[in-house]
Amino acid sequence: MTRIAFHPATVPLRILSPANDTVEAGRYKATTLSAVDADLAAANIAEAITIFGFLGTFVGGALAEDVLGEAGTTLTGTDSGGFRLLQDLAEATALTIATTDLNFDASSMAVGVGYIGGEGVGEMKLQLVMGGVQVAESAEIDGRDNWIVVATRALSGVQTCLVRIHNYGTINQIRLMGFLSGDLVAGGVAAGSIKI
Amino acid sequence: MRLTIPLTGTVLVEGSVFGEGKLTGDSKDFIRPIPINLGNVSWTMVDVDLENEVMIIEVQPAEGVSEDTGRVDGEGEPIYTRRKATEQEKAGFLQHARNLIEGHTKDELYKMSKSAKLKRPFK
Repeated sequence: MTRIAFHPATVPLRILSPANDTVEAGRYKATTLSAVDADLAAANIAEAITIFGFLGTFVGGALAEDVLGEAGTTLTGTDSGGFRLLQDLAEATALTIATTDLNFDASSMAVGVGYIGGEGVGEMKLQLVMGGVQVAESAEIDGRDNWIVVATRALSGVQTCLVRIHNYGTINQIRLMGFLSGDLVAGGVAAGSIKI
Repeated sequence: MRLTIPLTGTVLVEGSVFGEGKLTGDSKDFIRPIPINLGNVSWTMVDVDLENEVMIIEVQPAEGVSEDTGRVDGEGEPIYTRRKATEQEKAGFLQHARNLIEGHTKDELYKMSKSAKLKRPFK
């Protein structure tokens, strides 16, 4: 029978490293894993998960809603045949369809949506403006369809989000769809934000 | 497809559109790309580069096109119909927008759109 002598001097002394999970063969002084890496703590581990005896308590990471607001169009015009006819849109001008003012927390990521159901002729486009910066533009509003613009940006404090139609052409006519038997909500703007 | 377009408008608060989101334009003179019709495409802002006073936009071709049916409605207005754009048409829409922007210098684009350069009174 072969006997292997154990002598401390022949076994190297090792130190655990917080940089990796390797445990090399050798001798180690008594310690705790949390002493090796202070990040091993309950607050850094997801709630209800246990790692090396630390029961996690971290519940952060959830996205919290800051604000959410919307506004339908209040434009007036001539109602006819299921449409509201708008005519004040001369060449190279814009017509604001709907506006909402919201108070955003600092470090909020906002998303805005502008919408019209309408029928346009010529070279008109739907534009979304958030915090005084145009952030999106639709394709040409030609023919009868729904037109939507969506964009994101960070916003802080009280800011205006609005949707408007810009006329790049010379034909000054846009018709918004609606229901003449009820409230006309043929266009609008909505914005919301997530605190990050 | 991304394009870089010169900015016009007035900056009220200098900053970024991301991070703290401080960049704010004048409500009567928004910060916006110069008003030049890119054709039958839509776009969304990717970022604002204030150093170069340009906006980077992501451009998408229109999904549909409108065609005159040759008929008129009760008010004598022509009736249009919508159909899906073909892939060839979509590629053409993008190419048109690219040619319009990349085929001209920044100064030419300002002149074409009759726009003033970005105003930054608090810079």
